[in-house]
Amino acid sequence: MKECRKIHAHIRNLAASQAPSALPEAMRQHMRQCAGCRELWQLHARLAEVDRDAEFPSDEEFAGMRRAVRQRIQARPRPAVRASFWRDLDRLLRAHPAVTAIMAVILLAGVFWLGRTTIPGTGVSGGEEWLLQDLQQHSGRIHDIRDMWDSPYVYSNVSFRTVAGGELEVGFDVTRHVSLKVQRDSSLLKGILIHALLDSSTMGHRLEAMEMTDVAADARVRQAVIYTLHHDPELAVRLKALEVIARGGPGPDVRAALLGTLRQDTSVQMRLRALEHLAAMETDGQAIREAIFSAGQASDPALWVRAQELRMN
Amino acid sequence: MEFSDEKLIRESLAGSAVAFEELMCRYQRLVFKIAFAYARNRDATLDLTQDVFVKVHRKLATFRMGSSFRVWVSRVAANEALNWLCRHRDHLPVDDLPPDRMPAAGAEQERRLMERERQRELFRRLAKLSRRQRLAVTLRYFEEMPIGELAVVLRCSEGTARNLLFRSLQKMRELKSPLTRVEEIR
Repeated sequence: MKECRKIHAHIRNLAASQAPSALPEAMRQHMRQCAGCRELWQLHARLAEVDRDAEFPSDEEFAGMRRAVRQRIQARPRPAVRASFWRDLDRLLRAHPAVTAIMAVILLAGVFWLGRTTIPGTGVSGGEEWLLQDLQQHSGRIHDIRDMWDSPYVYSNVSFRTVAGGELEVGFDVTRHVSLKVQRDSSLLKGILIHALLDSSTMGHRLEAMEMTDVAADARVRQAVIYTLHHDPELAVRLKALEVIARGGPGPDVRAALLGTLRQDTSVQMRLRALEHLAAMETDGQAIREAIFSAGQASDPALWVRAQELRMN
Repeated sequence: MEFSDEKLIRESLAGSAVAFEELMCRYQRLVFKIAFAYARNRDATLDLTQDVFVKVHRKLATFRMGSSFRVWVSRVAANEALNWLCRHRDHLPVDDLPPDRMPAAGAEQERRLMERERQRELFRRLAKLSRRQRLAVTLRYFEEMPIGELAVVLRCSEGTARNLLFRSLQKMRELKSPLTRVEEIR
């Protein structure tokens, strides 16, 4: 029994490993007398040596199988009739480019027409029918959501009006949250960044956008940051804009923006930071002095002290 | 240049039929082996292989990038094979092995016949195992799947997979086909 257990453990290990099936001599001797162990060993050996390729279909049979899979996959998303319709259409368009052009014109005209039409009873234009369906489905889904801010849609500019027949006419702007991956230099990203920098609704979004901004990359982005630097009501955003602008290097528009801040900003902290950046950029001392003395804010002692420390006056 | 599975999966998800064709070529033998352990009939197995790949295509978006596609395909194949078995429980085809492709003569023919008979016997015993045991033996012995991957397919620990394999062998040993019994009586 002890030997049986040893052999069982050995076979158990061999079955789980990819080691070649070998048996020590002592175990062989035991197997000559023990039928149970012998059968187990033979079974393992036969399985390990089974002709694995014996059952495989030929390459042609496999190719046939794959062809059938492709056909089933192609047939699944659309009914066969529609599939053949698109195939025929594709063939037609490839054969006759003029037909393609005419169809493109018709399609554009159709889109234009749909955009102007109104579906009776809904007050929603034809081109937006999909939106209506989507909104209806969405309304159903969010029925049980307690926190409505989770909604992927944002409704604004909402108006209600009672119309004939007791119905309500509802008007609204709707936006939907979109999440996508873009390259850092994509024009879409730049446009969104500019929009976010100038959006006065949330300070957090402006700070986040500022974090992502590289003023050296695009002149329009730089202009947006300079505008924010001079006009944003929040000190935190203006400070961030100052750092972003200074990171852009000592260009003429950067110097002008910093001098503007030194001259006009209501915050001493902002003016001090601008002064330091201007000093680091080795800006003309005369221009800095003029900026400090202008607008009657030069009397702030902190600016004087700092300017003296920087040996600029 | 050979593309990685992940690259092919991404291409397939983007709608590339060529990429999915390449994936099928890579895994058709694995799927066929798993399917054969259940269907035990060549034609039925080819149909089942086809079903598995249609399912793989449909579920491809659920594959977690970074994990093993081989293991994932094995699992899909095993599940689909089990579904197939449930659907065909009442009219399962008889054990079937393909005919020899090359005629042989004399001692060689006899040896080959014996070998085929042994193989038939092996498949008969394999067919009598539970579905889980059958899958374990098929993947381990016919596909030479490492025990770690086998455990992932079976959704259990490596130790459990080892035990399952050994218990499967023991059960196969205990199963005596009618042919063996006659031989023993003689």
